[in-house]
Amino acid sequence: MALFYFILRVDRKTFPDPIGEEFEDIADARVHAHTVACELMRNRENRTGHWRIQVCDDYLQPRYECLFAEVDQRLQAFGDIMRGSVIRVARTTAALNDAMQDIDDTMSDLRQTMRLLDAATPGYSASPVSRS
Amino acid sequence: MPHSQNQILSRVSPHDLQFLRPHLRLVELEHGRVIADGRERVHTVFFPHGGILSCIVELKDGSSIETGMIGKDGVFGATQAIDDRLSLNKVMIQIPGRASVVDAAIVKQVADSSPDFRGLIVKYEQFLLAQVQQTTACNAVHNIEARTCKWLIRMYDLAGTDLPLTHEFLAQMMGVQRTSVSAVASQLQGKGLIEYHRGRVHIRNIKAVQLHACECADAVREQYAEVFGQAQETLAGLSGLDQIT
Repeated sequence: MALFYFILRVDRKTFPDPIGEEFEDIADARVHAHTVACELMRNRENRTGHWRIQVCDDYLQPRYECLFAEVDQRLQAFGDIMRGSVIRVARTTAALNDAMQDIDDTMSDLRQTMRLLDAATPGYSASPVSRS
Repeated sequence: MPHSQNQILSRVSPHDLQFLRPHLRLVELEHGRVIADGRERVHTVFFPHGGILSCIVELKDGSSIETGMIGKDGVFGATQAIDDRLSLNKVMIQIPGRASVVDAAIVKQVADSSPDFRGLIVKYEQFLLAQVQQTTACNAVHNIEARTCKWLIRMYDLAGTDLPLTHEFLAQMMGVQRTSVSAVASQLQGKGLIEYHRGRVHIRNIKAVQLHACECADAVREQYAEVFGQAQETLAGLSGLDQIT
């Protein structure tokens, strides 16, 4: 049995799974992620279509991502083309959010580096924030 | 003994209470203990003070879901005692606490001799039925976040802000996966509504929880007020309670 964590991602926010669940393999973990997505989406599909669950292994490495749009039963009524289009939009939105999150993280790292530099070199200010 | 901490006992007339009092005893409610199984005769009637009892429907596939909560505002086993009936579903202790208990045969004797007491029991049964119906509608129509918040409000009404609850147990009560409950709890925690730490949920902002809940929490409160003529929150300090302590 292997431990998997199911991390909910909404826009650029991440909601960790502090406990995790044990499954035989990633295939079982995927099925579980689909079930959870359906439960979280139920009766509020319009608001949660862009949400996703990231399945991570014991070392918190992403192994699979379940887009809520992929398991939204309502979309099946609109045919494969429409459904595929909605899923593509959800996937692109997710990628955009990830990219923006990466930028945020990089900016945060940069600010931290500049603060450290300021502290290490008295009289010299690398950070525009500390100058003001 | 503080039997008056149960709001049903606090409503029993002094005359009926005189008969009941010698037979009432205090017991501890331990988390997870099953006090009645489906289709089992009820021998003891429970009047909780602070703990919470859950009425649970179990399905053949092993899943289960809570359909009603009984706390300090109610009683378990009284109607079954009156009619020598069986418990229809499993009832287990969800939140530990204390309860006044009495043999079902004594409750039957009082009910047979006192229309007032019988009326009180029927009234509570009416409220419990309304609560179960509301829960059924809620489970079918409302989303998991609203249901979780409704559930927290009902728990707050019955047990306060600190609740010994694991995600696993909450998931079992709501009939969903543990992972789903953890995701919702994580979101509520992120908004500053609750805190979860080592199997304990602390409600930080009940007003904000109410904003995220469905209408069912208010509906249950209104049903209680409708049946008993007084809102639940104001019941704790009823006058005349000392008569039965």
